[in-house]
Amino acid sequence: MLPEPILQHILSFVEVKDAIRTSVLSKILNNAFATLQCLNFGDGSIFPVAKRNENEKVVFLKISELLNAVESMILRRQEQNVGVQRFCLRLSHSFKLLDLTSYIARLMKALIACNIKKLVFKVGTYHCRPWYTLPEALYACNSLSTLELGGFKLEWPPNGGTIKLSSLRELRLYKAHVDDQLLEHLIMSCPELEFLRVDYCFGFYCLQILGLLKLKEISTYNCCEEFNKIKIQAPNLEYLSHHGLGRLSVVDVTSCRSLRLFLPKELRENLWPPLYDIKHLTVIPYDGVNKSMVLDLLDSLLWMAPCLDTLSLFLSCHDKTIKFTHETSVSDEGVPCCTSVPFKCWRHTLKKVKFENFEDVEDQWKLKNYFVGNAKVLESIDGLTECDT
Amino acid sequence: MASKGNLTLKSCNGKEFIVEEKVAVMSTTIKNMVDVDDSFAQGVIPIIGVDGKILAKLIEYCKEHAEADEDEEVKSEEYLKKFDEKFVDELNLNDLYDLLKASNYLEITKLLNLLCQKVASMIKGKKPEEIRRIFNIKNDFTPEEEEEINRQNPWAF
Repeated sequence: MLPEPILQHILSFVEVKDAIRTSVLSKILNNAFATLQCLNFGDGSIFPVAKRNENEKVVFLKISELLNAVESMILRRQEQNVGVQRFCLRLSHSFKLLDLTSYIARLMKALIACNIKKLVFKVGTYHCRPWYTLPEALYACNSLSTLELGGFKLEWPPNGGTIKLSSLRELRLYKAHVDDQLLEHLIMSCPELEFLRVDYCFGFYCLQILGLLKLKEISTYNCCEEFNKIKIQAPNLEYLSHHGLGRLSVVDVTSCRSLRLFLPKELRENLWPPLYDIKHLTVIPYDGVNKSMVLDLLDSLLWMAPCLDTLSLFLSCHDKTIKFTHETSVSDEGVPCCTSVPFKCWRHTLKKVKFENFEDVEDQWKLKNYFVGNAKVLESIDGLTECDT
Repeated sequence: MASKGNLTLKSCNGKEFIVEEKVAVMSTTIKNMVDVDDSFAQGVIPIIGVDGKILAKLIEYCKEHAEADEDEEVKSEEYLKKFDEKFVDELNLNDLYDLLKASNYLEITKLLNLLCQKVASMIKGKKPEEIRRIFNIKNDFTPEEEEEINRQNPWAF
């Protein structure tokens, strides 16, 4: 048989239900589970759902029993100083049945006392609105390195309580209600933050982050329509992805190496400030953009991000890439630049263009003409099929 | 005698393997030995409690991964994933246990995780008696203990 540390390592990859099933097999497995520090209750399917014709009270009792079992597992670990490193719980049942406000507070308090490092906690919403708020103590839990919350209403801790998540490296918010100030304050209270994900959240207009040194990756997905501003100054940001419901009016991102944007139809009408620092851009256009519109799209994108090295386009399920080579040292003499920016635009620096996977694009000669006509110092175009113009 | 950049690893049953240093130091334990004491880098490193068959397996795994770390083009993520799958699928239960213990002792984290995940996948969704049969686990509870344990957490069964 394997030694206990290895058994625990194995059990850290299974859900609590499976770990319990192994715990009845032998003494060493029983002990491995009793001191297991990873409690993953899975996707919530362990909780029964009231079926038609079924007495709600019976279901209520079953759920209560389970909730008590979850709580006592944590409390036992707290009493025995075993601790809980990872905890994952999803609760999604009806509020008519059970109000969990005090239960959630007790659970989180015990988890904080257990020096929780990775916490995934998701609760159901009421008519699509979050119902539960977060216990105050969680805002100042300094053992947390990963926090994933779903369905919570984030509110300022009462009585001027502090927000300080000093070890947090990953923050994921899902279906959360949070206002601008709190969102900004929460993020800025995580000096170690590397990864941020905000999905289906609402209540805010702007995502503003200034100066988090370790932040590498930010993704937002299907947040509220009102969310229309992204202002980020994070010197080490490598990846920003935004897939929005509404139109972005301000994107102010400095020093990000890769940007992925879901492109709104009205790109041209929007006042996008050019993204001069962006070297790699990935664009997934809305369904309305088809292969014949590639040129218009390209023209907009080059206006928006004129210093690209690579541009990836997802068009008709194919990943198309364009690689650009620019003149490195641009002399100020010669032809004056066509825009009023303090440096030369791509028309005056682009030397080589290489198209990849563009075989199925119609009217390739248009693309060729576009570059030949616009790029003043162009030396070569690769990857387009030869055709008479 | 290993040439420069190579290390000699010796299994508990006396089999010697000459491997590139970058392959051997996938093991944190070996890396620490080499870093602390230069004589290990020159001579033979004894791998206590690991026999030749298991050590050969460990080296096979580390070699693929060390090469992939060095050159992503030749050994892509996809290639490694396939290699990993094949690697664990070909193991019988004894080898799986021996490799788990060896990779734990030698601190080859990637491999340890891979093997633990393999065992976890063999547990997932199964009934206790099925798990007992698969892993050949002996019941060492007294009937009273067993009764008590079965009474806890009825929801999990």
